Amino acid sequence: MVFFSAALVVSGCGQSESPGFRINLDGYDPAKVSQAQREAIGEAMEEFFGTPDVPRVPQELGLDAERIAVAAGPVEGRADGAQHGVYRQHCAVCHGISGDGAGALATTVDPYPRDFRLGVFKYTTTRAGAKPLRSDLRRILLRGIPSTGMPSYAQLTDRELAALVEYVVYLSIRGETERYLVQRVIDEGEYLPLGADVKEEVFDEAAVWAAESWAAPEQNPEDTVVVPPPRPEYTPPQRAASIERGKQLYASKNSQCVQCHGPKGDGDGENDLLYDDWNKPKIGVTPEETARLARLYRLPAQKLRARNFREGAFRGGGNPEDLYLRVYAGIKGTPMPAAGPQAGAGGVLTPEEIWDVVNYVLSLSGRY
Amino acid sequence: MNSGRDLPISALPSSRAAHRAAWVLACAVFPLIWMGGLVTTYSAGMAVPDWPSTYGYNLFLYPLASWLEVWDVFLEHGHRLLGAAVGLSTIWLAILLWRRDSRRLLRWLGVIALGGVCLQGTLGGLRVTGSSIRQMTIAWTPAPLFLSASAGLFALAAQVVLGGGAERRSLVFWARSAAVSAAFFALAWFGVDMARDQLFLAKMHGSTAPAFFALAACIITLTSPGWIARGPAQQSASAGRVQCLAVVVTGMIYLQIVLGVNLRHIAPDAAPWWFLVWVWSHLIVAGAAAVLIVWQWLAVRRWAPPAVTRRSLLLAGLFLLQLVLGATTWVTNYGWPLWFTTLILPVQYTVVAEGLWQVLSTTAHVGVGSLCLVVAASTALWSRRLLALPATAAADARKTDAGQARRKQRR
Ligand code: HEC
Ligand code: HEC
Repeated sequence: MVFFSAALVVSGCGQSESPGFRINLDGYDPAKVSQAQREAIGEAMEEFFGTPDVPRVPQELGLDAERIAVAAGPVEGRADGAQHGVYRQHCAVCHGISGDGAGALATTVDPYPRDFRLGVFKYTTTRAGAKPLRSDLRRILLRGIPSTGMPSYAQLTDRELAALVEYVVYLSIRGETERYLVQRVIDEGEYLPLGADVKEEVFDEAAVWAAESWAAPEQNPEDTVVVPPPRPEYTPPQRAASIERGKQLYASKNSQCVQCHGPKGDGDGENDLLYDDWNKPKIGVTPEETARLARLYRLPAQKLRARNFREGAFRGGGNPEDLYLRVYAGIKGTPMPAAGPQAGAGGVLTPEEIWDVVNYVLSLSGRY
Repeated sequence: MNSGRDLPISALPSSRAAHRAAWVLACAVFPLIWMGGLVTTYSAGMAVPDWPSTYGYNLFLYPLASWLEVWDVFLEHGHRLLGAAVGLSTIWLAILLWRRDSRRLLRWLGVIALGGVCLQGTLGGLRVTGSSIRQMTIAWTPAPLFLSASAGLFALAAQVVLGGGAERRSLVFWARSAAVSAAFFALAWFGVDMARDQLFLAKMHGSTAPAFFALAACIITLTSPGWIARGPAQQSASAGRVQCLAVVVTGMIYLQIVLGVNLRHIAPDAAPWWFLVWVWSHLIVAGAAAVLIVWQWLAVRRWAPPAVTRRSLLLAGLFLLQLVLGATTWVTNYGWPLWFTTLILPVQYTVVAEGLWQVLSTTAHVGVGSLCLVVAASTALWSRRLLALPATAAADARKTDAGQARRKQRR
């Protein structure tokens, strides 16, 4: 009985009210942001995007409101088996209600769950700097990300998957808009309360702009989507030769692969102070500055390791075509560079050379 | 707990029927706990949004075809049906104990079980309908105050009406009535507040279930022929320590279950360090419990009666299984920890949400956890019954004889 009552007390901790979007003040000193500023930001954001329970989907953004309605809100079943609130059911414990990647489980996984608010996604079929296709996000949901906390959701229905993808895009556009608004209000000291014209400007410059960048790869894939050329059919001696060429390219100064991935591909290169775009801002020039910055973020800084190829776990997928895409376009939001030819500029490696490097990497992982 | 000892065998009416009813109850509760674990794993709790009805149907009349059609509905509705069966067998057990068992403790344990099953059913129901209570309080802020004030006033009115005429004038009467009304007010306030928080209800529901299972198991033990037949207790100087250890182990396991419940029902937007707090306390208590369980077994292994040693050994085995299941649950939910893949073995694994292994290990971890509690509680009871300190044993016997003599006199 004593234990039972103790349980009562213990369970009462960490209670949850109806969750709202958390304002994104990452990198700002909370003491220096006035209540009026917070309120102005919160109000404008709610006007644009609604709340987690009742999302608003502005028409200009080309989002599918029906799908978002399935993903948003509290978890709820219907007699026909149609699940609602699927984002909160499956994703929010890691990615957070706001998509800030700081849900309750965040610090138990390395790497942290993705913070969607930067609008950057690692494993895409698009060029460096471009947004992913919706099919890229869908593939991530189906496959999961091996060797990380990100699960595979292959058992969900098509309807649920589509809803989740759309909701991720919604949270991402929302996050980019909020970032811009926060800068205007706090850094540029916009007059408060915000006038309708200012809000409209913010909406056009941030939300509509972000929505356009999401639409771009879908609308003209020729410019943004990387299509790996067919992988040559090798005879065994040709294959050995390709791997050997790949080894040379891997070790060459030009490609820099060794610097991060190490001479044997163990992920122990000289360049071992790597951070991704989500953690880089938390690192100051001096230790004191880093310590000061630590207080301005919800999650402590997390180092990034270059991949150890011998583990054989490729997070963006282990097919040769997947690896081609990684080497060609880099891994977005990380120091892993794009080696393929970019718009206008010839890259570090030609497509044939990329196949050689991929073959070499595959041979290290024991997959080839 | 040893009130059974005070009675001569002849004075104990056969509680065979109660014993059997307790077995039926426990055998229904165990799968119910597994099913509840599945409901949580699949987040199927909200698959049926109304309660106590199912989509408007009476619980027992919900069409079979619709029940079997959708997996989530199958789970949630099946959980409710099995729960109803457990409720009915609890009523049966309580009646049998009340009418046939002459031990006060057992009669009241039956009543407590009845209260527990009502509480558990209500918690489960509120867990489902709680959102509408929340909607109500959002729509009308004074709703909780209104509800609790009505409860308090109702209690006051009832006491005034029922209170005798002469008594009504006394100060004591009014003081007592005020206290009772205040208690009702507080209870209603707490209840409404709780009902608004579905996660809290889920945690309560998950913590009550194993406690209820343990209660059913204790009733099995206390009504068993072996318990009632008054055999001599085995005397040993370490009996007291063993008995104490067994109680501590039981408490630890229950604490561990509550910590696990909190891990499972973490609010998605809770600060990430909360989860770490739960994880670390769950790990620390697991380690401590493991040590105590091994110690308990070592302490009884050589001399205690088999009823105690066998249970201690079973507990150790189950706990080992539980540790393995805990590790599997972690890996199938969050993947291999980085320290493991970098320092020990570069294994690769992709977490599959609601995949077979995740569902199996998580649910089994819940089920075996409650089984550990049951075995620990029964070990504690039996070591209480069958072991005695040399000195106290003598005193105990004297007391028992005196008791018998007194009872005989009264008759
Ligand atoms: C157990 C925690 C966890 C859960 C639950 C989870 N994720 Fe993730 N997710 C992660 C982690 C960790 C990463 C980052 C992996 C990395 O950076 O390599 C991630 C990354 C992602 C990415 C980014 C992929 C990319 O290419 O950058 C998307 C999109 C995503 N998750 C969507 C979802 C959705 C939608 C759900 C719910 C259906 C979900 N996640 C549930 C942990 C989780
Ligand atoms: C500046 C450091 C750096 C350089 C240079 C670099 N990488 Fe990487 N690479 C990384 C990091 C960091 C990751 C892991 C990113 C992550 O997990 O988010 C990575 C990941 C990879 C992956 C794993 C992809 C997956 O799906 O898991 C491959 C393959 C890879 N790199 C190949 C190469 C090749 C080939 C080169 C040379 C052309 C190269 N890298 C150059 C830092 C680098």
